[in-house]
Amino acid sequence: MARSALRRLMAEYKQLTLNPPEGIIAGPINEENFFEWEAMITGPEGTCFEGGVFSAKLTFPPDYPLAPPKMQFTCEMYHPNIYPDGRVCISILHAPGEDPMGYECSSERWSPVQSVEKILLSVISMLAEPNVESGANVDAAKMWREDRDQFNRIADHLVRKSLGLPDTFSKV
Amino acid sequence: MSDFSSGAQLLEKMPFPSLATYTAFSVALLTGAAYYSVENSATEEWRSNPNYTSGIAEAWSFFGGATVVLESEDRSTLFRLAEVVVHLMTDPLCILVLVNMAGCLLTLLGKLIQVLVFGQLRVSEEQHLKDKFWNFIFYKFIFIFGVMNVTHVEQVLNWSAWFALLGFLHLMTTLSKDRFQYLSFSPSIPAGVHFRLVGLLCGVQVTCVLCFAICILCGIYHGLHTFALMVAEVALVSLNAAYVLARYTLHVVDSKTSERLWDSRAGCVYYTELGFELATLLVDFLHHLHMLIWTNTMLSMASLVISMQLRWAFNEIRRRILKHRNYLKVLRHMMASYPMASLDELTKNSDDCAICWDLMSTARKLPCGHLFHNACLRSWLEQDTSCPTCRMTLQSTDSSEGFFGSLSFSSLQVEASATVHPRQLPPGGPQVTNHLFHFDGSRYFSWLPSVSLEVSHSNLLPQSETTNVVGSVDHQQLNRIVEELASMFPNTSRSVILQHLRNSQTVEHGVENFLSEKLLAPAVGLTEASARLHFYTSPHASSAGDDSASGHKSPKIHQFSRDPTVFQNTNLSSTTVIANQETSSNSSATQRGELERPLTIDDLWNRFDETNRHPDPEERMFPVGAAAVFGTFSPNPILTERRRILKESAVEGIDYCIVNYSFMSWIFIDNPGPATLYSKTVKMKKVKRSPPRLIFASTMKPNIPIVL
Repeated sequence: MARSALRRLMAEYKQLTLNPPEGIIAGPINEENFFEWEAMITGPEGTCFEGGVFSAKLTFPPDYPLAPPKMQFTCEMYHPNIYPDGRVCISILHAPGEDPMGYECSSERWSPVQSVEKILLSVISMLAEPNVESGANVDAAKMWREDRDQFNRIADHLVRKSLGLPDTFSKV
Repeated sequence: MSDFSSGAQLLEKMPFPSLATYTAFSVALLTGAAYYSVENSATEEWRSNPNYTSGIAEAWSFFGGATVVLESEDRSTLFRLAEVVVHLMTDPLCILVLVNMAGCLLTLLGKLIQVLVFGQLRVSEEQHLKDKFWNFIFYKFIFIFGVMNVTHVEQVLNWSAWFALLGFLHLMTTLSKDRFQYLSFSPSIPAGVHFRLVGLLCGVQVTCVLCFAICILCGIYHGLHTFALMVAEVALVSLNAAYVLARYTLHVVDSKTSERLWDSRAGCVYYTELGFELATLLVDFLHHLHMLIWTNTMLSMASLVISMQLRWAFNEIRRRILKHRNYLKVLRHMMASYPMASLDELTKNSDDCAICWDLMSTARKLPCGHLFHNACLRSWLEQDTSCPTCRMTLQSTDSSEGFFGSLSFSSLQVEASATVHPRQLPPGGPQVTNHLFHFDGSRYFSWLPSVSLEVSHSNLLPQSETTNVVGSVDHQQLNRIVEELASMFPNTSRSVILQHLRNSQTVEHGVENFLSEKLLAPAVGLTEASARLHFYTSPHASSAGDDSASGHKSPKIHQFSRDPTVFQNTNLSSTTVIANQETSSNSSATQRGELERPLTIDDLWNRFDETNRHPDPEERMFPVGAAAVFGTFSPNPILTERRRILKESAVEGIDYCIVNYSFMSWIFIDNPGPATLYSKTVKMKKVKRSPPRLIFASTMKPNIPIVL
């Protein structure tokens, strides 16, 4: 199975290199192993994550694209749909059989026609519009609902951190 | 085997000597034993030992051929040597030392093979190896003392030697398997690696044949049971090695042949895997069953362990067979329900298979009209029952039993009229689907319940993606865009802008076309600029529209002018658009006069970021893109180089580093004194096949004029 997965991943890599979508960079960490990718996405405009550049790691299963990859942010993130350890919880990354949160419709789940590009675009839109119902990070979900200002401050801090800029968060 | 991984983890925490220490220790022990033998074998007390005479006689006959030609002096030395050897072989302590030495040699051999064939082991391989090793030791300990009930030291030693050899082969096979798995993740592997790995596997197979010979010899002396127990172990190792070899061959054949003969090959791969997996599991199962029946005491710790292993093997076999039944069912279902697409349909489709992204020369057609490779579709349908593209639920042939054996998801399309008015339905599109989830627990155990769950949901997925054609955008939105563009470019009339948008296919394209045309125009007259800040782009800079349009072959120098309003940009990302907005509005004479004074970061800030979130200048974030640095990186350099450069920046004195998906800038601040705009080329490490595209740096400091 790994052979067809490799072909597909190479095709995706080629496509992402030739026509990079705005705000997304992704590629294998090491060209020896095409099943571990690193991705960088920019925070969507007009949201509290605007301007930030966030790095994440994608791990593909040997039977990709039948099974979805796993995505984990490698930078610090605070978001209702991102676990404190950086794992991303969105329906597109869940295999059709499983339903950890018990709310998803199977049409939103993983299918082989999805791709790295679509996953990353979904994650960008997830940054803009969190799904508060599926709280991977319950604290963040609560703060998003009840104390948006504080959430925005934290997000601003993360954006600055991701850009390597001096932080103002502590003074605010 | 996974049941005892926690035990293995516990063992791992124990301090374990390194190989070098162990070897040194073993050699020291052997030297000690040899010295002891030399000393002890000379004593009369030992010579009177009954073992002595028989042993010496044997050794003497062994040396016999050589003794004839030797002088008497040599004969006496030889006799002395024979004495020492016999002592080493008979003294219980010395035997233990010798066994230890043999183990040490085997470990060294393993290490040698690892260095020669595998090189540095990866962390997961090492972990896997350790787990296997401790599992093996555990099970063989149970086998020797629990199953065989050996009582004599000699027997224990014989069995240990046998299992040491087997364990060695086992570990080598495991390692090969892991490495093969890893190699199949990589697109380019040197041929030497292939040869070494295949060579090792062949070596394992040859050794297995030798082991088989040993089994026969032991069988003759010790009976059929011993033979069966020994042969099962050899067969397991041999099967594993053959399995890896077979998969390897298939993999190499697959990667060497360019065209895809998927249908036949996928079946071939599937049946090879099935055959080997089932054979391995069956041998394992029978082996353990044999052990369980043959154990003298039925209720012991050993039989408990064996029973657990038996249960595992049984479950695995059943799972595999269920999976195979599912496979056959899907295959039959596909043959019956989904016809092969005709040549006409294939050419009309003219798209790759959505699952593997490869060309389709043959394809199967789903009821919803989507085409896929036969093998791709089959492997997807094994785990799901909907079309990968449009998610339409596919009807199973027999609703009583679905694709998943007794875990059945039979999906029934229900007449939509109940909830949705039929006239609103697009033709052929299912609107409401029911998922019936049925779990029949009583099939496994009588006390398990049977559960049925029915889920209805309306399928509201769009039939086809609507493209964002200008005509389809509502008027209000279009007007807003025109308004925005007009405010950015006051010299251009609205009708021209509207014309632009109408001429292009989508609004995005229209805006992009318009902007690039507008922004390139002033950039042409950019000659008086001082080239303090330049950057290089490779000819492949893909998203740089103007670059590729003019088709540069050599690295191109972009110039940063004294007039901040004119800089060429290569990327029409959002940040640059903001910058360019200034470019045009500053072309008016009044503003130009104002800009004669040196540019400060405040100017930049006010210009580039209207959403000034922090009134305090000290608190302001550098506007991303203010450094006027644009370009495109291919993924690899930015990912690997970013870290390297950030690391080096501490030494080089880079104060800030702004990284964005399309550009990268470093900001140096001379402290104290006037901030200078530095341009600096940072050499990128060469990355295979993807050359770095853009390198440079700049600096700005709040409220201090930038000296150009």
